[in-house]
Amino acid sequence: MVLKIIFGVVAVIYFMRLFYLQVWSDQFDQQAKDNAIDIRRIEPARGLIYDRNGKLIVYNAPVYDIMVNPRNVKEMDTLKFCEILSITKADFIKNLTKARNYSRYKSSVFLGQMSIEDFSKFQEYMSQFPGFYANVRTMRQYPYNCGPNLFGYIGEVDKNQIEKSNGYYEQGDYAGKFALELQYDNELRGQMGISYLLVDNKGREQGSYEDGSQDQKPIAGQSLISTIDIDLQVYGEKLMKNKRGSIVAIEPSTGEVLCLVSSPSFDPNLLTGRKRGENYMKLLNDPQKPLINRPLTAMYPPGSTFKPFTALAAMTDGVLDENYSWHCTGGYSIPGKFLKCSHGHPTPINVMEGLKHSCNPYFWTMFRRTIDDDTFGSVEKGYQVWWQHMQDMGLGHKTGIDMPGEKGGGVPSTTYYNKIYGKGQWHSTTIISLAIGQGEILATPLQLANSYASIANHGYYITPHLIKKIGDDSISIKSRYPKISTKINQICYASICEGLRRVVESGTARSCKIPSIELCGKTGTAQNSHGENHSIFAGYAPYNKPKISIAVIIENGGYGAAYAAPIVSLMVEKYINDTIETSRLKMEKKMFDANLLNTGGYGKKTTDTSAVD
Amino acid sequence: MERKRNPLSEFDWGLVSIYAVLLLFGCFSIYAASYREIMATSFLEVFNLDTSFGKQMMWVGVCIVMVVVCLLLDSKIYTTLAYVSYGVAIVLLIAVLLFGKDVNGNKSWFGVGSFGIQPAEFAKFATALALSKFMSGMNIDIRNNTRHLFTALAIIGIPACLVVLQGDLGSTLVFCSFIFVLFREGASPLFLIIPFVTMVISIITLKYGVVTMLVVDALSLLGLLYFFRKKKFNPNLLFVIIIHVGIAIYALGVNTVYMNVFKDYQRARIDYVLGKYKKDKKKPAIQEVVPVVDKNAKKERKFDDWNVRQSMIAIGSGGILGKGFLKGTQTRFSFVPEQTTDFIFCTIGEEEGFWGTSLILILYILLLYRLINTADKQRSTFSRIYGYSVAGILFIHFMINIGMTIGIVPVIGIPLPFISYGGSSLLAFTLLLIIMVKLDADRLHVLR
Repeated sequence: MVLKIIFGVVAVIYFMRLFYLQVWSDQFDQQAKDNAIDIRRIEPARGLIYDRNGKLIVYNAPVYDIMVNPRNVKEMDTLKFCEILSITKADFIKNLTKARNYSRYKSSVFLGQMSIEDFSKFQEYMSQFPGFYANVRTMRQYPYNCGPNLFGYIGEVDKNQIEKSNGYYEQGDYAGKFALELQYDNELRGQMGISYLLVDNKGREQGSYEDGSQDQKPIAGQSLISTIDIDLQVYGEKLMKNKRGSIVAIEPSTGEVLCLVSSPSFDPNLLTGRKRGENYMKLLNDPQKPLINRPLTAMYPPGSTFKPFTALAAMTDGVLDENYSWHCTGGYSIPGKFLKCSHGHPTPINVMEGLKHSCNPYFWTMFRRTIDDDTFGSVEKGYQVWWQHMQDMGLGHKTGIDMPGEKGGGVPSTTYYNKIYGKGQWHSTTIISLAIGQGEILATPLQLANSYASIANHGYYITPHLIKKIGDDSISIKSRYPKISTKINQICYASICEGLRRVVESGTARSCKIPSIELCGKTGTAQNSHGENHSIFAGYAPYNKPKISIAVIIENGGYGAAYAAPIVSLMVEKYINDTIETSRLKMEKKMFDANLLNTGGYGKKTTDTSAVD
Repeated sequence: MERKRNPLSEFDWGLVSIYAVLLLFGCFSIYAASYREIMATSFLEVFNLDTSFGKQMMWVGVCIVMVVVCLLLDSKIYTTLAYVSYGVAIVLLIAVLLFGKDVNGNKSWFGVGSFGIQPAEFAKFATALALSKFMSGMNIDIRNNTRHLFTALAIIGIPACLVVLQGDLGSTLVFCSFIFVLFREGASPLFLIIPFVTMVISIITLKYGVVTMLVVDALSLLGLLYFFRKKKFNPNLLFVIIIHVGIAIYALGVNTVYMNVFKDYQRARIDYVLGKYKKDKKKPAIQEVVPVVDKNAKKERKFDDWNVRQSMIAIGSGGILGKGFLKGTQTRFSFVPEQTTDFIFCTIGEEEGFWGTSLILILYILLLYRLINTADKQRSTFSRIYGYSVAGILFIHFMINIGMTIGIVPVIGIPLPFISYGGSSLLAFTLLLIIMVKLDADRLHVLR
């Protein structure tokens, strides 16, 4: 009996223990899975990017990542391993330590982005190095070798991106880091595939878990159709060679960005592959700052290119009509100062002639009359109305382009002036340089091109954008970009457009006339503290039914007509006619060859108060 | 007068069926546990003697033949050969110490071709026979005759000591099962109580520290002294003091042996069961393979709790219904070491789940209870004592083997009867059990 009791007690204890282990506790199932299942992620092919004419501008080429699962690494011929991969023993230890610090049981990248040639050498011996295997992934290729500021690049995700991705990214993954690759990362990256592999106690593969029924195939990223005309982009970069500055071209009727040139530029393929880090450091330390996306982030005083907006504000408030004529005495008196008009021109002039000759006193008068108008009651209220007009015309705030990092330029607010001068202590004469695009006023090349698009459209613009189709979807994208009215009386535009036409026809930019196209625009010369003036031109073409609105800024390029205007005319001719007329090839060559890199520093923010032109 | 005998109806088919079911479980489990090995061979080669499963099948065949032979032989032969087989077993145990081959640091095997024979397995059986023979002798009285008691203890002790010398701790523990027999045959209950008490003291000492044990001991003594304070002198008082001093010395001894004699891995195994095992944070708790730049560095390191942890993971992950035959990942991918032999229970736990393990527990308890009932029924002292011996041996195997796989008993390598892979143990257990069946069948005809 005693024996039976002893046996029985032991059996009951064991029974209870088994109940605990097998029925009650649920930790062991997961532990068994952790042991035997190796989760491998399969990276999908990243989406391609096409230009507006269907040309492939970003695609993928295969590269190989050597992966390591530290748990499975065994004793091996390290010397041979290092030799095949051409790394040092120190690299080997460093990379392996990094992988182990990340996880001892999960795979991570040991050596990234090997070309197919380097990899094939390793592949032959791979079986001798347990724990190491290869993952094919794709490397971005940019066949036109241009537009690094446009496309951005992909690189290893940082902590921030991992957190933001809600568990999608893990250390060692690659994601878009800049510009379009970053902006449209969610669309381009697709959906990661997962495969569950069974492994034995030594980590050797033993087939797929549940016959692969749990596996998820990767879904390739969506292709993007860009609004960019890649030929125009290439041509723009060629023209901008050895110059600092930007070209932004927009199709006014749609808001589609045709090109976005930032100069100096570089080959975006430098930022792919194994040399990426090295090249990146070189570019980062380049004094010409090629990594800056100038069209969106460099802010310049717009200079005389701002004059049409001064005129439009005055006209819509009823201060000025197209026939209003004003007598330029070759200068302008404000209390304590006499500001000279720098251009010799016939007088009196109306607004069209004022634009054509870029007469500063004309616009100073208009500006003062606008904000000092009795109907507003005070300068502050008058200025507030004027400020609102500028906002409506797309200045002083971000355009909202589909690219990260854009800057908003600046049109100073009444609050700003109250703070600087005190409430009621400032007058139209205090801020008079705003009238001609100097002073505190700043605009990015993109803003300038966009605001000129609103002139081309006679009163509206469409938020500039770079992508018009994601996968098969172009409709929902169109609805993202509605017409935005400038709230300027439409009648006002006719005379402004005529004025801009005359600038090229017979005014300050007459040297840049294109025989077959009526180009409209305005030259600008922005003084700045970093050396030579910035050469600026903004405009659109043709006069009737405009196809392109464009702004060019050449840092330290001198007069607007010196570099910016010729480059605009060449770009417009190239875009509309596809060829440059023989008579203008000389000018084209001159622009190709000009080297302005040593004419001064980078004028990021200038607040000079006067401008000529 | 002699009744007409129908040998078939007299056998205890209950015992034989339980045996057969366990054997069948064993075959399937070994098939599952060595599935990878089997996968590497072609279909018809499953029964090839190169695989564990093939070998085991051969042994099963041998067993079936042996069962038939044993049942046909006259049961007198077992009493007659009791001392002879004991003698042979002792000789083999000595021989294996001299000529055996080293397996995992133990010298307990004779190598014959690709087979190994483990004399210790047969020694258990022979000892059972010899002990039964001795104690069923005329006028043998272990309760009152100290010489008889010591002779019985010697019969058990000699093979036990030889097995210790082989380094086979598990088999030695099995010889402790004969204590049940002595107790059942009239030896003092102290034979059960003393081991139990020492075990409790050992556990307290190791789990809570020797200081705790000594404090408890001292408090208990002080309490009793207070109880005895009014009486002048009492032999009971002296006895109490001696007992407490004895406990204190024992506790110190256990601690010393544990700290100084036990090897690291043994300490770790005990600590694990006591819930004291601490993972060294620097070492990962999983089987770690250290890649080396320096070839002289240690190649591979298994951590001390690896076996039990993997075993518990295997059993625990089986859940209620199990993962299905051949579908256990722990089993198929060799995460549990020694899975065909000592850890075969994991295979059942993982692939058949709680119902499978419960079934095994129930089968064993049925087997053990039926053996005790059968033993109690015997008219012949020899048969009765032999019956208890069989039950005791099987119980110890059952308790230690299953206990270690579920993390209750420290890891001690002994097989699970009828289920574990291994020819020697299978043959020995089969002999052990089937002879009892035969003795039982003959109980009405023979009076010993």
